[in-house]
Amino acid sequence: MIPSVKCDQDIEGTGMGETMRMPMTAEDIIVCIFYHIKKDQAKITADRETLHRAFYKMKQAHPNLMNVFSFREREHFPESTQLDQALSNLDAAGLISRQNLAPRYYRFERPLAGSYDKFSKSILADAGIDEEEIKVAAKEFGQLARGRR
Amino acid sequence: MTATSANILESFYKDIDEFAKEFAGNKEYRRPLPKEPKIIHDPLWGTIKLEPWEVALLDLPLLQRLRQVHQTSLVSYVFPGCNHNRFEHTLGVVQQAQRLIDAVNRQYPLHRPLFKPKAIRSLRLAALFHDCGHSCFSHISEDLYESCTDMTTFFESGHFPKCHPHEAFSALILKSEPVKQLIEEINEFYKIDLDIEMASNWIIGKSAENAGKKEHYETQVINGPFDADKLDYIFRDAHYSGLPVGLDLDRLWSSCKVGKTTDGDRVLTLHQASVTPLEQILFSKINLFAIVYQHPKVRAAEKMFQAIIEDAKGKPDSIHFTISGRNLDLNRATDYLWLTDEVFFAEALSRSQNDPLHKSLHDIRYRRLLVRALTISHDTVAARCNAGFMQLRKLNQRGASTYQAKRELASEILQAAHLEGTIGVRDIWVDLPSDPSFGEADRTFVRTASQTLRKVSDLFPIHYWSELFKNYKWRGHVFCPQKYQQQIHEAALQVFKEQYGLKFKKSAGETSHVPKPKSTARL
Repeated sequence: MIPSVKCDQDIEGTGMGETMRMPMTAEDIIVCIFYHIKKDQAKITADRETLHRAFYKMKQAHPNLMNVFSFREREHFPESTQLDQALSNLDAAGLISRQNLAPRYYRFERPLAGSYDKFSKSILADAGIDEEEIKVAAKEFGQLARGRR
Repeated sequence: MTATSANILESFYKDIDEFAKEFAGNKEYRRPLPKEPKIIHDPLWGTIKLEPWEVALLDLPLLQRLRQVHQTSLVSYVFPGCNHNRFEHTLGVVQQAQRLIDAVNRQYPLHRPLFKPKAIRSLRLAALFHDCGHSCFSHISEDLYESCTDMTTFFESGHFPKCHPHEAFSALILKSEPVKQLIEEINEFYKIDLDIEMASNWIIGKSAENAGKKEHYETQVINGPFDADKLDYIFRDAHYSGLPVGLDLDRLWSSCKVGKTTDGDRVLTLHQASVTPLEQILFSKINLFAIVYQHPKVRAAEKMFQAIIEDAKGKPDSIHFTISGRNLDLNRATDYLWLTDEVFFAEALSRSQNDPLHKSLHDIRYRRLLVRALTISHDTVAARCNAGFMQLRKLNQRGASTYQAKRELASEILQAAHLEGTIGVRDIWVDLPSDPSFGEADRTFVRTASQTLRKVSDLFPIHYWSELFKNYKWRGHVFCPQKYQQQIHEAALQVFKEQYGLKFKKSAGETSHVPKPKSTARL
C-alpha cells in the first residue's frame, strides 16, 4: 500500500493554501533522489535496463524507502511499472529530459528543484522518511546510473 | 504472516476453487469427451484447427463465459465494430502460438524440432487458459479488483511472483483441483501429457530452468515481447475498431530463432534485418492507445462503470449483481470472476425504473455518457507549472492511494462548484490515463551480422515515440454530466490552482467543448 500524507501548502503567488491529501508515489522518491544526485552529477543514464536494475538493487538495500516500487522478475532483468511511469511523468512535466542526438542520458532540468522544494520533500518527510537515507540512496544510485558530467 | 492475512488467503484460494468447481468441474454441464478435431473459422486468421482435447476444454463454461467478456471494455460505444470478446481472442492466441512455434521449429531439422509435442500441447493449453481469469469488461474491472484486500494480501504474501492480477487468476484456476482432475482425465483418455505446472508458469511469465539457465523462449510464446497474445490483440483490436494496421508477420516469423544470451539463457530472437515488424507492432500499439483505448468518450464510459462498481462496493446489500442466486460482493477480488458483461447489464433489466442502479446502467447502455469539463495535457497546462503538473500527473500510477486521491479531488471540485446535493461525487471524475509501456524494445534480442545479440532499443530509439505520445497525444480529463459542464469546468480550474498551483490555458476548456471556456494562465 502506498502511504499518503496530508500536505499543507503555502506557495507564494500560486494561490495555493488549501489542505489536501497527497499520496507519496514513486515520483516523489525519484524527485528526491535526483535532487540530491544533481549536486554531483548533471545527468544519469537513460538506458532502461540499467535503470531498472539499479532501482531493483536500491530496493534490496533500502526496502523502506523504495516500498512503492514493485518489480516483475521475468526474462533478463527485473522491471517496475511504477518506475517506467514515474520517469515518464518526470519527463512529461519537464523535470528531466533526453536531448536530441544524445538520448542515452537523462538530464536534470531546473524545475526538478522546484518540484522537490514545493512538494516531494515534505511528502517524504511526512511519510516518515529520513532525508539522510535519501542522501545515502542518492549517492549509491548515482554510482549505479552514472552519466558523464 | 498475521492470522488475519492467513484467513484472507485461505478464503481467496477456496473461492477460486469454488469458481473452478462450478465452471470447470461441474459434471452436469460436461459433455462426453470428443473424439474428432474441430475447425473454427476466424475472420482474422482463417481456419483454426483444434484437437479433440482442446475442444473438450473449450466447451467448458469456464472458457465459454469469455464470450460474455468484451475484449476492449466499453470501446464499442465509440467504435461500434469493436464488439469482439475474450473467447475470439483466446482462439486467436492459440493460433498465433502455433504459428510462432512452427516458425521456430522450421529453423531446426525435421527430426529434431526444438518444441517437442509435450511442450507444444502445453503451450496451446496455456494459450487456451491465459485469459480465463478475466472479469467484466476485461482490464477496467482488473483496475478495481487489484486493490481489493484479498488480492493485495495474495501478492503481499510473497508466495506468488508479481504479475497482472488476471494472469494470477488464470494460472490459479488452471492449477485448481477441479481443473487438475479434468486435465488428468484428458491426459488419460487421449494418451497425452499436458503439463499444468509449466502452462500456468508460462501464463504468469515464469520460465523453466535447465542446469541453472533459463528457457525463456518457451515462456515468450505466451508472455514475451512479441508473444501470441500481443500479435492477436493488436491485430484484432485494430481490425474491429476500423483502424487496420500493417504488420508483416511473415517476415517476423521467418526470422524468429532461439538464441543464447551472454548469461546462457535461451531466448526468442529476431534477425536485425527483420526488426521492422516489431517496430510496426509498437507503432500500432501507440496508435491504439491514442485513438481507441484512450478516446475521451471511452474513458468517460469506463468512469461510469467504475461509479457503478463503487456504488456496489459501498452498499453491497442494496446494490449488487446476482448470478445463479449468488449475490456478488465486489469488495472481494474473487467475486469478480463470476461477473461478466452479461451479468452486469442483466441487472438493468431486472430492476424497476425508479431504482438508481437501473438508471446508472441504462446511462451506459443508451450512451448517455459524461462529458469533458477540462482537458489536461502538455498543450493546455500553462508554462512554468512543472511541479504542479507532476503532482497531478503522478496520479496516473495504479493503486489504491492514487485512486483515492483522484476521488478526493473530484469531491473538492464538486464542493467548489456548489453542486453538493444536486449531483454526487460519483458523477465527477478526474481521469489520468497511464502511459503505454514500450518495454518490449528492451526485452527483444536481435541477431546482428556479427552474430552477437543486441536489444532493439540499442538499434532504434523507440523512446522518441513515447515522448511524442506524452507531449502530443496524452490527455487527462475532468468528466461530469453535460448539464453542469460550465460549473465543473470553472470549479476544476479553481481546485487545480489552489491544490497544485496548476494553471490552465483557455484551450483546456475549448478542446472539451465547454460553452464559455476560462483560463487561469496569465495572457
